[in-house]
Amino acid sequence: MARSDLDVEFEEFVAAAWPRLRRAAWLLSHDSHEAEDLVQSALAKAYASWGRVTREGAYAYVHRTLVNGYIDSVRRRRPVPVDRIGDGWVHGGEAPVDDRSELSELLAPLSPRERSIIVWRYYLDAPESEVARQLGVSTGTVKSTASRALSRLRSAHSTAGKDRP
Amino acid sequence: MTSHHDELDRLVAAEPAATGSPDLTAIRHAGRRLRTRRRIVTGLASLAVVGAIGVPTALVASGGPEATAPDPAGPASAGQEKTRPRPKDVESRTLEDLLEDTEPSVCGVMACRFVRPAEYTKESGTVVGEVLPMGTFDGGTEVLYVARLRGVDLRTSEDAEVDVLMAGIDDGRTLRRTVWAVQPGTEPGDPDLRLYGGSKAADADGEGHHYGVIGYVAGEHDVVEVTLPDGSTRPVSGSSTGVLPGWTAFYDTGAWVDEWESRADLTYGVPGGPSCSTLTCGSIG
Repeated sequence: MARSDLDVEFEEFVAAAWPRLRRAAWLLSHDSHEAEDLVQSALAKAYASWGRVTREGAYAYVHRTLVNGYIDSVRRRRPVPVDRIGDGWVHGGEAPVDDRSELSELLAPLSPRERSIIVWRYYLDAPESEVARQLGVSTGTVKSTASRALSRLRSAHSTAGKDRP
Repeated sequence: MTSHHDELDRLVAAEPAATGSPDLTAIRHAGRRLRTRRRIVTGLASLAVVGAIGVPTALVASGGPEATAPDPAGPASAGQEKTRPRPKDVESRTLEDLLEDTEPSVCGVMACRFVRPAEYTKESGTVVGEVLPMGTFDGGTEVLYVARLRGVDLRTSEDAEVDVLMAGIDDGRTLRRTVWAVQPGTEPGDPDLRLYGGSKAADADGEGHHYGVIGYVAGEHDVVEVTLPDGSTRPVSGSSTGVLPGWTAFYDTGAWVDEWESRADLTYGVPGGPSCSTLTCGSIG
């Protein structure tokens, strides 16, 4: 395939993949700037290896790269002072209210690993076995993580606003 | 709702797609730079291989190092300096690799100090029994307790009032939940013993690593034991039958062993009663 054909193919792929990919990045990071960087980086890596990526499965490739990039970004962060700890979404780069959704509320209190499992498995629709393999956990753990996250969400809804008894 | 999967499907379907558009020019530009960098690195690596094979061969052929030793300031040494081990690309590493050396936080027994402050939420359930201290962390007492709240019976996926073994931090005024762990009586599978944790965690002083596990076993027991991979057995760090009547809740922590994989394979149990390993009966967060 000629170089220009590859470019056209890549542009079509980006146009189709971008809306979900960008949202997935936001669901992971809850930060618009970071989400933009994650998507840009994942797609640039896909472009750099486009011929090989296409054969491997472009969607699977960018999804994996996106989640890996998110985990890597978490890895590079430093601990923050204790006094920043509080209720709700008060982290830096807080998302605009319009970006919030039931799913993003579900993901907010989860650890990076749990959040990656939910977004990768359910939002990006990756096979349970692939998520489990990449994370080094059993498929049962992938399922139970989702169950517990949902349980927390329902609990949060049913007890919203209540203080400790 | 019929299952967690259905519920998540509903949430995903309701999730709005991102608006806006990608910056294709910037993506292609970054991609080209990345491709160029990879080619340079690959080329230098090839040169290093040629050098590694070629120089000793030349030495053998010429009869000794004195006759063929390259100029230290010449191309060979310059090439060697530039061909340091190639850093792993992000996409070539598994998540487990990345999490392995993740140091975003320092940890107590179960609580970790993350960048995102939403990790700690005020406990909204009813604490039903004793609050068992595990240590100090982040200016408070790290505790183990059971909260009763509206959740999900994990055996049926139905909404229900459930008891959940939690870890948290009590600063004397507020109890903040750090871990929603396992649910005595409403867990699928083996109901008698469940575990949570066992991952590698950075020590609070940043000097080393440890593991933390919390769990419960059915019945009220004086002793809960842990068996380490080397076969040695000892009592867990702490346990209580007062956290939830009818159950024994416990926590355990210990030094991380470098040879372990990403999770500690530890077996917990009571003498003459149920026992299970973190890999079989455990969950992670």
